[in-house]
Amino acid sequence: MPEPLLHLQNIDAGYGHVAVLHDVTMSVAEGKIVAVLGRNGAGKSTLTKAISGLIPLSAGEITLAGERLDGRSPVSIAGAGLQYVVEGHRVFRAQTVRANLDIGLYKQPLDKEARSARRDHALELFPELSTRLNDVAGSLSGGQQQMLAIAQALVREPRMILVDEPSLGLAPVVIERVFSALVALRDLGVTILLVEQIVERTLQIADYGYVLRGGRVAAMGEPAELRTSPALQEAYMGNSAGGAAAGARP
Amino acid sequence: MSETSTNPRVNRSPSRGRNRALRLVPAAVVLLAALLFPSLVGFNAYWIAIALEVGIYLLVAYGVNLLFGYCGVPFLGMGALIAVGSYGTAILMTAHGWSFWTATLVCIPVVVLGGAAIALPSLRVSAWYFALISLSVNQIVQGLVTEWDFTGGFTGIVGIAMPTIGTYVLTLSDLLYVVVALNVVVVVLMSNAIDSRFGRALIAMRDSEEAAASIGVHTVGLRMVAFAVLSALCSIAGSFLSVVNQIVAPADFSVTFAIFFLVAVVVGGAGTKWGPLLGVLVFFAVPEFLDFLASWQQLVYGVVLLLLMIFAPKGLVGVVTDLASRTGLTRPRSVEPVEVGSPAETHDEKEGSGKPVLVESELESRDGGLVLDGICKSFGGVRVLDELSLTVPDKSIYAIVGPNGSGKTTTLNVISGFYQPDSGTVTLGGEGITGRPGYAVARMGVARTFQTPRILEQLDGLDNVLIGAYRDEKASMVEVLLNTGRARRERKALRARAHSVLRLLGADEVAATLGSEIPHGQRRLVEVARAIMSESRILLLDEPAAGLSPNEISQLTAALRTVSKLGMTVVLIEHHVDMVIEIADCVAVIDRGRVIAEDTPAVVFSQPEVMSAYMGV
Amino acid sequence: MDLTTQVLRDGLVFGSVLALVACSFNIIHRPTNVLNFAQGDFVMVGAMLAAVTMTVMGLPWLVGLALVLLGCAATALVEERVAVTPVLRRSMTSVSWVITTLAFSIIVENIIAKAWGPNPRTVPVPPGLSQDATDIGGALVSSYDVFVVVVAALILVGLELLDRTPLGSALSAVAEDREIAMLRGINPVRLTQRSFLLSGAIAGLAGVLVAPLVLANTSLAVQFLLPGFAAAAIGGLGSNRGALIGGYTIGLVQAAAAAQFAVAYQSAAVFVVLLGVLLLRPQGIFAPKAVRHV
Repeated sequence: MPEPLLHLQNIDAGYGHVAVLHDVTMSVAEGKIVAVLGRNGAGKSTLTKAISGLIPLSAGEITLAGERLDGRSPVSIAGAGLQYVVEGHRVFRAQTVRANLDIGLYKQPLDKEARSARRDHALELFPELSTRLNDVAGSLSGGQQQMLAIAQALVREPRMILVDEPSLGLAPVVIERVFSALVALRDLGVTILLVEQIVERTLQIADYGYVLRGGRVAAMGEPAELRTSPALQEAYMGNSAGGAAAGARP
Repeated sequence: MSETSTNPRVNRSPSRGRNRALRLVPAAVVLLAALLFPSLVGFNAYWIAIALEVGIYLLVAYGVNLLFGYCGVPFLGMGALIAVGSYGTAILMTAHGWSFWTATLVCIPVVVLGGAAIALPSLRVSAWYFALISLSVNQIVQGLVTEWDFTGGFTGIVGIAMPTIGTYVLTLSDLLYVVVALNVVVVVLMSNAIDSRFGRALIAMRDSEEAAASIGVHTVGLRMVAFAVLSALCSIAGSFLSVVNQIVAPADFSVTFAIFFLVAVVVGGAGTKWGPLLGVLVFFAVPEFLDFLASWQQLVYGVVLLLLMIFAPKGLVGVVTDLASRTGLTRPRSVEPVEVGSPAETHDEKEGSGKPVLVESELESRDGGLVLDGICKSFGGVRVLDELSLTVPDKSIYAIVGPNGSGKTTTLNVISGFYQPDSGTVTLGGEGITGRPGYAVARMGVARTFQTPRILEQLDGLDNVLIGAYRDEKASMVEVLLNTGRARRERKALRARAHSVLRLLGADEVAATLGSEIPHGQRRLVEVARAIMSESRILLLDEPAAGLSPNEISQLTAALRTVSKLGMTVVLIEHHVDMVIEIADCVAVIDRGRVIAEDTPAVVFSQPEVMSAYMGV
Repeated sequence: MDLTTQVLRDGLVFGSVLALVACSFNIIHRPTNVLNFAQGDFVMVGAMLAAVTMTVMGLPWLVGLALVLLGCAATALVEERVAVTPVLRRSMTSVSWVITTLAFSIIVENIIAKAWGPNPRTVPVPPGLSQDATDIGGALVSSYDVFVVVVAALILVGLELLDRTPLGSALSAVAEDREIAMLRGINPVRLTQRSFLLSGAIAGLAGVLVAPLVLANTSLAVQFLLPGFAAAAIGGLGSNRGALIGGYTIGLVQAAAAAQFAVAYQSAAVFVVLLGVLLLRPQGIFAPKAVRHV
């Protein structure tokens, strides 16, 4: 395997005195979709926050193409070429779609044409947004807001994007559109770390996957291996999962 | 800090009676000093006048401490309120020949109502509006009394006579005794109030509005009460100032005058019992001895205020107690309310049999069955709850599971009245609770915990549990203020009960620990204990096991079983499926704002569609 | 001289100054949610520095203006460093800033009073303009009056245009969702500093403009705090258009109260109007659409 683009080495992180992640090591190869699966509370959001600099690490290190990211501010990590798309399609609802995209280009030394080109480029995957450039983002549907959030991260042409639960609160058809856009992005060469709780659809598009449980890596491997891994099942349903549930005390 | 407080030795510290007597020593010293003061200074009029001023200002400082220190409301209009009291008394006495005492009494309601008229509109908006508007009131009142004729214009009102009793004209020293007596009354009432459920509710409100509402505190009402107390104290202070100075003039009621009280309380220690006294004394003592400071007075106010707010928000009292606890001079306060010197085990037996943790007969008669019917709730066009219906049987343990974002927390917020549903109804034990505000729902017997435990950092573990009993305490405000036998007995009983509840959940070691020091794993148990204290019909828990270790989870599971055995219905949102399978009688699976399955855990978790919704397979 | 038209003239001229003060409140409020007690002090510092540079040192008006704006911006930056950011760092929701900005305002006011005493000082009008009034439709209006109204309006147009630049949009982004703004590479701390600089400069400009009309003195701080904020609150916090209309409204209310009753009733009248609006429409009249977070 070539030198990974993003590498996490034995990281611990959490909030205040509460440690959530324990000794997590993972790698994301350039040009791939790497999935992180786990049920709510497994530490997925803590992981994305730690990578993007929103919370500090208590141990370990993170590198992006060999450059240390840990200990840096979110602003500086964004500058290093890692864009984090937060869960819950958080866009700037009071501003227009165009303004939302321009915020992604804040302080980039680009002229007017270049800006417009970046916008168009980011919207190629989401044509339904191109017709709504002048609409306020709050008037978009949930799915469109999720697309806008991704496009906003893309205008800066990052080395990789970190996408946290893009399926959250979206209808299956819409999830489908978002996921195919992610595949298209990968095919365009964008590296993606996709954090999700929906298993099957994620494994269908991922090149590699990790399973988080209780803040630790419980399993890793190619999608095919993970699908059959008992660790995945356990991570979602606990030790007494699946068949065992039927035998549980009433 | 937490090490010393969990030390069992602490629980066997001096008896409460002795403790109480000890705590009265500083108060007695201060009182004695005040009473002996006139003879100590040889009845020197200058010093007596200074002492009077200190005593009068203290009255206001106590009020400011209540409203700013304990409630966190930055009111700055003290100058205006005192001016109204002063002018009112002066005019009634000089122009209408009233006695000082009736004039003083008549001014109080006027000041309170006038203050409320200003407070109500601005309290609705934000703390800043309140601060700015109240600060401006000083200027406006000052401008108006200068302008008006009946207030004597620029020169004000002169020739205010000393108060009389019958034909006896009071001297300045007599007046000092009256003011000292007033101070004693205010301090006693105030400290009774702060030690009571009202005080704890104030602190709960300041630190977490949601936590306060969840135990049934009517937050606006309580703030207005605190505000009325400050207004009344300002009015009384104003009346006394007018007779002490024998003149009332606009220049006395400047903005600086109002800010003085805030500075004094912040310097002494906002939200502490001794803060006002310490602050006022410091601000009187320092300029008296350092004359050259006089012209720098305002600058000193500003600098002191800025530095303290940033570096020592608890003022001198905070600095002193910090130092004391760091050097080990003081131990955390004793928390054993009933019996001391006996190990905890004997307690258990004594109380376990004699004192029920819950009044079970009462609970059994109350139906904790919950029905949600067709609840819809949208945020910004996104429908989070879509015709959600579920039925929670009385006294069951009911779990709500579902993928992230499926609407579980929203459901809890709708039940507890924090959100109003767009349509649909919520019924508890046959009574409709839809559309009621949070505190009202709490009063009907709905207790809840939050995803991040709402532990009040400034209160110890026991007090954090005690606030749960807010709506159940029977003693009235008057009884509490006078600390009557009933109020005392009730408080004692409640403390004992809070202790047994903590012990029942196996968390009694945090009773004496300050909220901010309670370890994460125990915070949830404290919240559960608070809910038990409230004798609610139903307890809602939002992801109680999140972030807990396996050991702590089993402790929590046992705690929830206890709650259920006591006759409370338990509704929990939880992702730990093992835990749900272990304790729930019934499980509802929510997906995209709808219930897709509702049955026993065994049945629910064997359905393939549940698996697919949950894992998105 | 006609009383009604004279009230109109006073209302428009002072209203224009208030609109600037209202904007200066808005500029700080946007990225920080802080409403600043020292806003009136920036106006006062502006007027006092104008007296020092233009009258005492005799510098040309434009040079004096530049120095004043620099001085006020610097004062505002000091406030951000010592009284706002340390408190916000502890908690974004704490209201300690209410007290710390009040403390800063007391400090500034007293330092200025110590430095230059309580005596009112004259400040010149820009070259080519005069305060000699001519009768226009019953009101006595000078060329300087027109200048004040026009400059204020131009500044407001400028601020409105600024809102549409990437900087303006970044400011709104920080206001709406600080975390996402940071993740997109916007540094909220730096933006906060810039908004303090700009806010100080604009309040300072208001001070320079008003000084020839009322004389520079330390009580300007208190005089402009309540009405300036009332203009912002009535117009709706965050709205430039609201600030202008709020400014004119409060200016007219003040002028009418002074003409009808006495100067002492000015603040009382502003106060009553503010409380009335708060009762009926707490978010103000031109409040930007509230954004609801799920």
